[in-house]
Amino acid sequence: MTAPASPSARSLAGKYLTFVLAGEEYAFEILSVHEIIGILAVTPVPHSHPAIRGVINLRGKVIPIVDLRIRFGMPASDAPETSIVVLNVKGLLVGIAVDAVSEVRMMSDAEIEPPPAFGTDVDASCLLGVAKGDGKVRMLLDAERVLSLEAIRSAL
Amino acid sequence: MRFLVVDDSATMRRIIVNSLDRVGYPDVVEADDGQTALAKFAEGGISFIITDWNMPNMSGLDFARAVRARADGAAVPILMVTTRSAREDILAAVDAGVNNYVLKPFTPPVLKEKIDAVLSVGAAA
Amino acid sequence: MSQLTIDDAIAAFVACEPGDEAARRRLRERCWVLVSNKQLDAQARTALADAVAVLDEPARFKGELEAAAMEEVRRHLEIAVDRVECGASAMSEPEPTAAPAAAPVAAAAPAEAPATLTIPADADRALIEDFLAEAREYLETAEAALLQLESNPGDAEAINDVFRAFHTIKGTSSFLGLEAVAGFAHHAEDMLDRVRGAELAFAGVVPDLALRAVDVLKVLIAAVPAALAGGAPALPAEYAALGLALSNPEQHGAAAAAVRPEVAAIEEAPSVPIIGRTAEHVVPGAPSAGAAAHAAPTADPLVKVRTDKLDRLVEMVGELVIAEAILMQDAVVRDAANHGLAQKVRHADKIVRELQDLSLGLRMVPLKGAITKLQRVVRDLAARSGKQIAFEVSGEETEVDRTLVDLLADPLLHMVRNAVDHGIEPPSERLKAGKPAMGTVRLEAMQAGDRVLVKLHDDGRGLQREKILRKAIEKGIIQSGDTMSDAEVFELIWAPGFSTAEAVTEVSGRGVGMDVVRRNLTAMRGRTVIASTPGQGSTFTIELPLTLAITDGMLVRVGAERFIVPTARIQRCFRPEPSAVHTVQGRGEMVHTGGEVLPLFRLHRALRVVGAQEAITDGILMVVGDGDRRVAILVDELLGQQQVVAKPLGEAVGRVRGLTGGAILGDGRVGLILDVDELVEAHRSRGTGAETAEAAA
Repeated sequence: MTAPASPSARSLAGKYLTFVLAGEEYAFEILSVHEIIGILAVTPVPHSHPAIRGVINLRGKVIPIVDLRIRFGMPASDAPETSIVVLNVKGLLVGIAVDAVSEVRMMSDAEIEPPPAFGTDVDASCLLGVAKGDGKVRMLLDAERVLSLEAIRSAL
Repeated sequence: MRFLVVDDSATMRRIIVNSLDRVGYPDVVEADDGQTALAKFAEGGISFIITDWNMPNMSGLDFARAVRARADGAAVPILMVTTRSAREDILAAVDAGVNNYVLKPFTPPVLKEKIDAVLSVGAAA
Repeated sequence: MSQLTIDDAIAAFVACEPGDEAARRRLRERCWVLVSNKQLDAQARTALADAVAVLDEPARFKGELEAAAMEEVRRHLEIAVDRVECGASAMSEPEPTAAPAAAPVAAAAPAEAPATLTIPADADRALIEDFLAEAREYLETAEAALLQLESNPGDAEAINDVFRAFHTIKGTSSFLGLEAVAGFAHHAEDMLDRVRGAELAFAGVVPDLALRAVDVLKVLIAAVPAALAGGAPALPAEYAALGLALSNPEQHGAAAAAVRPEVAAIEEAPSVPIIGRTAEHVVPGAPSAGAAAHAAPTADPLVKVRTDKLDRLVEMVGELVIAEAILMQDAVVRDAANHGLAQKVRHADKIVRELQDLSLGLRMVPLKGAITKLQRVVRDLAARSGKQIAFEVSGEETEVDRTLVDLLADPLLHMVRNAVDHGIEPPSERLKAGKPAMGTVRLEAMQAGDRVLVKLHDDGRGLQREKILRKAIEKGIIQSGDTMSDAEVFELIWAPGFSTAEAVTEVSGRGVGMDVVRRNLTAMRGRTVIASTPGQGSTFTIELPLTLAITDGMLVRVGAERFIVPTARIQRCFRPEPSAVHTVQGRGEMVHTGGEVLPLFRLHRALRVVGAQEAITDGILMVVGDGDRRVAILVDELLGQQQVVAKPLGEAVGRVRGLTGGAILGDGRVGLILDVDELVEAHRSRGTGAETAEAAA
């Protein structure tokens, strides 16, 4: 097994949007976040990938909603989702339904550690690193990897 | 002093307009072919024309002749922009009533020099 | 200041120290003023013009060259002085020597050739981006003109179009510091200038050199973004050699026009046996299409608008039309007792309709652009395969939505390649079959109602049923073709993994098959029909909507979900009697209606919607499809017709079989637009075995 390319190659310090999913805290780099909207009615798309929950109308644009629980193989939860984080990955808009959006937080290099190879719900290749601070552990997600179609397909 | 810049290439027009602006002539009207340019000229207020030589439909020479044929176009300075300078071109330009021409590529100072040259000859005549 | 005399020019000449550029420019201006002075002796003016020409060539004054150039200026001035001083008496004097006039070109030609495309650090990037778009347009025009010249080599306006493209690209790129582009365009411009001046015949290798020059410039222009991004893309392999050939086409077999133009044109006619013919609709009294094309641009001034802005505008107007339709359907408006309100709403409706027509018109462009490229493809393919092909085009002025033209390019290219590679036979085979050696590929475009038809006909060998079947079985696409109609067999060539190419040639291969062509067409709500007669040829027909912006759709409910079915695909809807449904062994459920028996297709099963009607008498059946491929689709309820703006579902969702896209419905949710043909196709393949179990589940 080969380890993912060392993320220490570039500094990961910067602003992140943190959110809660299945009781854990995660974060996306703020630069990849397009906007945050409330939960909207999702139209399911038959025969699409199981991790694609469906599509929504974002002010006239049709954008897909990816279900991160399914994406990461987490168990279904009763906690109601409250928000959709719309990410902009290489110009494509993709929404992610989350339990709650927490805050925008500055993360310093000192807080960020490389991702552990084991012991997380999340596939290590989707992690930029793990930030520890305020007595919390936040997993920093690589938006591009999380939403890449190839990665989604191979994950399931 | 208002310039009329005639060229079918939008990029070329921008180059000329930018150059003019840099040497102190910000007042420019643009046209992308001879017919449009004639209409703009007819609206009045143009005191200097810079035109491309090779344009579709109406060449720079034909345009110059058409301007000269107008009662209000006999004296307006016309500077031709071209890429080549051969004896026949030079004589044809003179015959069409062109005051001077400038070769591409030129720098803003060279353009200014040409404009000054045209204006000084005009003033002397 | 009194009038300048020749002495002023002499004085300026004497003042020119080596390397003093400013003094040289003063000399040039004085000479110019003298040339402009029509009272001066004509031959003196000619000599002065020669001097100006030399002085205008900065390259001739570089370093050691300067002395020779100044000497030439001196000779011209001397002639001018002689003429002025002798007076204009000697009428029949020979013209001053003209030979030196040709020198600048020769001197400029072997400029140091760059190896890569680079961009100066201080370049104006925004301007370069604009230039790229413009250059592409000029090259398209040049290419079209060159193809036009193949059938009409004497078309002076077309030659000028080509010249102007090279000329403008050279001039503008030199400003932008794109030396490699400017240098190459210069050679191309020189050759065309000689054609323009009737010095060189547009025959033999010349048309080919010009076309190749267009190609190299396209490659160069395409490489500029990489250079802008900081790279140093290599120049095309042909760059240097072609540049040389352009500067000296005679060395490469071109004929000097002055020597023997007719003979040259015949003897050295292109070795490529193809005629680029245009079948024009002859309208009495109307100018020919060629003339019209050249005259057209004078009409109105044009404005360039970014296509994404235009698309957005059309899309927003589409949304407005729908929003307005929803408003019109609102009970409050419909039942308004207030007569004034109803009148105002109707007025607004009228304006919106007009706006819709206008905005759709904005994006309509002629098919010509897409077709011009094909002429080139046919020409090149025919040359490579040693076939003789006449390419005839009609209806190229047919206008369609711009996005469709872009999307149509690939399917058309594939079909044309297919016709040339596989349809038209080699000349020997054709002669043996009693056909003329030259094959014909005919492209016809026409508008029929709100659809556009593009037909590609070839008079080749036709699709061969047995060969297609053999291959399809070999590839595992079908098990047996015994019960298949010809039309069904022909349809197989669209199947993934099927390619009629016996040997994947350089041009027809590339791994993109007919299935991709078909899929792209379906994505634009297009359809394809193939007709073919063995030995006589094939006709591929593409049918497309005029515009992609707005679809008339029937909104249907299935369980809690709503879908949109394009109205054009629905033949009729009916509520069946319970007795109308039968289960036929091996073919699944069939429904009797109006004297025919159609397969029943339960939409909720195909789309895996839970909670939908199972009892067919509680739902509605929609008959969709063509001919023997029709089915009756069961839905819960028809919610009414509405116009929708089709939008892609996005790359993340990928392509889902049976869906063409989504649309925003009146309540703000997304409704999915069904691809009826694909659904039916899926149903049929299930019926033949593989997924019967799933369908029944």
